[in-house]
Amino acid sequence: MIKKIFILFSFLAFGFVVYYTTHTEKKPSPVQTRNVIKVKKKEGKTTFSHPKQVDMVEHKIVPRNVTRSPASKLPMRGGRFIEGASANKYVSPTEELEFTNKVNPKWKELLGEKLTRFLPEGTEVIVKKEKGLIYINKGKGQYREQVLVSYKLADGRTSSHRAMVDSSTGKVLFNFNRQQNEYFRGRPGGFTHPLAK
Amino acid sequence: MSTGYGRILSDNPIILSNNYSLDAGTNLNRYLTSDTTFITNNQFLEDACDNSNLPVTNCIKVREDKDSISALQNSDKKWAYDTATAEWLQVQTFGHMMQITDKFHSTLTSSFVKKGSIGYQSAFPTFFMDALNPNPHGHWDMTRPLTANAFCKEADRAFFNPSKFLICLGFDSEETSVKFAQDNTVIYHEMGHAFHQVLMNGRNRDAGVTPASDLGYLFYDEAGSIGEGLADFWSFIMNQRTHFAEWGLGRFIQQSRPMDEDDPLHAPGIAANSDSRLSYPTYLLYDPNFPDKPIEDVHYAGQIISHFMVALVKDLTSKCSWAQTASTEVVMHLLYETFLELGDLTASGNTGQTNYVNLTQNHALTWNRVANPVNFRKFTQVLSKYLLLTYGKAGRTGCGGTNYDMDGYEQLLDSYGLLLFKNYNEDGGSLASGNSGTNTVVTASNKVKTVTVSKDLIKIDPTQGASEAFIFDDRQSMVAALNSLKVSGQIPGISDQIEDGLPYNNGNISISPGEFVGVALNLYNDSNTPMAGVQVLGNDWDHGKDGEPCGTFEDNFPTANEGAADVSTETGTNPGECSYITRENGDDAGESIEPVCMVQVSENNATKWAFQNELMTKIGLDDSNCLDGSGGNDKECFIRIVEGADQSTYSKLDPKKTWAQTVSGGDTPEFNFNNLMFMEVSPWIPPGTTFNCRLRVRFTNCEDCWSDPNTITNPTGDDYLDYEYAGGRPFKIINFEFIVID
Repeated sequence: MIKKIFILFSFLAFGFVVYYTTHTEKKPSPVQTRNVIKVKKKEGKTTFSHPKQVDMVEHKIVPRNVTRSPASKLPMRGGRFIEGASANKYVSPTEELEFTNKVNPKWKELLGEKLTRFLPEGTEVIVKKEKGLIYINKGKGQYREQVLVSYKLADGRTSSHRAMVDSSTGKVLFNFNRQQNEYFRGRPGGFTHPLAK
Repeated sequence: MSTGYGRILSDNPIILSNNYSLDAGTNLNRYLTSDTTFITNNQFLEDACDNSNLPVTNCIKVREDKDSISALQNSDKKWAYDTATAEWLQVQTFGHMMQITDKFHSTLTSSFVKKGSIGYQSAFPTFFMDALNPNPHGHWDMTRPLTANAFCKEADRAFFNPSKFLICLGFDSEETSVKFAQDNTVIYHEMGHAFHQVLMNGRNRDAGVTPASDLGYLFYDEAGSIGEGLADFWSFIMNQRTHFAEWGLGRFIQQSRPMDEDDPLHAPGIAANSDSRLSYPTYLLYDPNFPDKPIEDVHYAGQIISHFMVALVKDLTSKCSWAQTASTEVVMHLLYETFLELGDLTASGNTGQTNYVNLTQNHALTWNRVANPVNFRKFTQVLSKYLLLTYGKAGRTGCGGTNYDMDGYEQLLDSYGLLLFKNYNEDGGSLASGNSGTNTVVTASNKVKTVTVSKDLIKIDPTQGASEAFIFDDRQSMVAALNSLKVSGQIPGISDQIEDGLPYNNGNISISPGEFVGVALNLYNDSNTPMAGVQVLGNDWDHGKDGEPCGTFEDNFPTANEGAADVSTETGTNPGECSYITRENGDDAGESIEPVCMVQVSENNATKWAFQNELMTKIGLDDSNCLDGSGGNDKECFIRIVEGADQSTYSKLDPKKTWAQTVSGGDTPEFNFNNLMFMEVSPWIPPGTTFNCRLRVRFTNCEDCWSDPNTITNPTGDDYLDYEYAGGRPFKIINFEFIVID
């Protein structure tokens, strides 16, 4: 008898626990705003409303129902990204592709020699490879390396940029993503010329 | 203090105290209020950004400086610190970075939706912020957070570094208790640069294209000026105030900047009416803190743009009956579209288009950087186009139930001297369709204040005894210049033929074998109107045929007797002809582009002009001794203009003056890096050899540099197609002739 009562009590207790956890109303977390736009999250949707903008469309951001197949990934060949005209054509290793250069395993050393020229003593240069590429131009491929070049000058100032490097010669083809400096209390010195008036 | 919350300054200390003489050592704690700001629920000062269609998980991170191992950590997640501490600087920076990034992403998302609801040719990629797009996304750099060094140990400096996606906020070296992060408007300004980088490369990242475009490539250029003005405008976007950096830059350094003509800092005579606006190019060199001292600087030139943008916000508010915040977001939408298009290195420009902008994908970076860069004209034209498409066209009803008054807009633009284009160029710059679409023409009568000038009126200084060009060859200066050019990444490298230490640089202000020199043409404005945005191009262009120079340009140089290619059978329709301009910057079959510098060679007791490979053959020099080395381009064997430093820019030339006379203000003119083109001079040049570098020159407010001025053949004033900028037609060709002396 006691055993039956115990079993019944256990069942009721279990049922109570299940009922409580599934029916307790959860308190909403406080709205955390960081900016002046009123953002309210309602039922998984985020809506914006701008006062006095009766002529503007209310922009509702909703999860998109995508019916198309996923976009293709970036084209790659032999572990390198392919870019340039008709890059997608050369993804398959069976697609013949003539190269204008070869990968020199010492490209980084060659690059380093070029980068350190004309730098004052005490300047540190750090080169970090970001990715390898094959660039297609006029139906031919060129091996390239994208690197991040960082400088630390003797006075502690730093600068960095990205560079596209010829994988064969270590020569920098072009730079990009250069640092944008704001100088206060005086700008870097310029040049004067005795004949310029 | 609740978990996840902290205290930051709601504005800069000057504004909060209303004391424009606030001491540097002021205890800023007194300007914290009892209100707290949500910072983050993470224990590190880093967080996601979730105000866009596709949240960015690893979005923002703040640390003290570059040597910090990680973002600031607080296990309690209670971000309250004394304002005198480095910790507080980081929380202050983080709080404002999150606020402005939330604003950026939310409005960017709204803009993306807007283009679908209104329906127009947009620069937004179709699958922008699409989770199923496996390519890097356009609305952020998803590979790493935007990091801020809130107390980076850089005296008197701040910077944005796109290669590391990093912001540095330094300190005032003379008032060391003043840290730039104390001023939220400085944070907003630097964040503006980051947003510009994101937007300029929105289409590039979306398509998975390397490399990246920048807004500005030189110490001074108009793209950089626009970037600075818009970075100031981001401060207005956040706080609707028309002044920037009262504390961080204004109080002790006198470099704060207004964004409205009614600002008390402005010099007398500047006012918010059509006759007195901060107009282009009049106020390009104007520093309101020191109005009598002209200065060529991107920050001051950028004020014209910041003032115009604020004026546009106000005009929209008035004409469309919107709240100012709503008008601001409309202007942000225009900026997003403009940047997405201008920075596009896929060259598509608009979804569904091909080669609409920046020529072709293979040459987009060259076009963006030098051949057809962003300048005041191009920026305002594209911005205006999107305004027209979204609110201005007949039939649009978004502006108070009707379309926005484009006549009034053109007049506003004109009052800023920025009505520099003849039509809105909706058909873009492609060969296929760039001259065949329907473009909206600017109403001619709206152009009252904006003055354009014929390119023929820019020339070498005709003053008797004046130098044609200034040669900078002092060894110490050029060694320092090389150092700076390399560290800044402006140039990719130097020929092995130029020796370390520049031992051949002799400082005789002439060009000698073995030197590395800077060259500045001594340009003169022979008109009665200021010329602005002057650009001298030294990059390769289409001026040769079958290995001989073409003499088919306006100056008819060289003549046939002087070595020009034979053009007697040309029709102008066949690739390879002098009168046919390459459509793909030399990549098209039968076409090529040539380095600018030709050399005078002797032949049959006469001299002629030729490309440098002829001299190489004539003197029997092995091509391994050429500047470009073995297998390189022999046409720049002896003189080579260094890529990256192959253009020079000049902010303004006043009427009947040179640049030096315009900017010097009576002092000795100081040339900056952007004013010089840099040249390598081979040590193998026989002394006495004469060279002629065929440089192309143009300027922004030029009447005939951007479109064919012939109103019969081009009645709508349609812009030149992109390929034309590989040729000579849009430019004034200036021959820089010099003798290499020992």
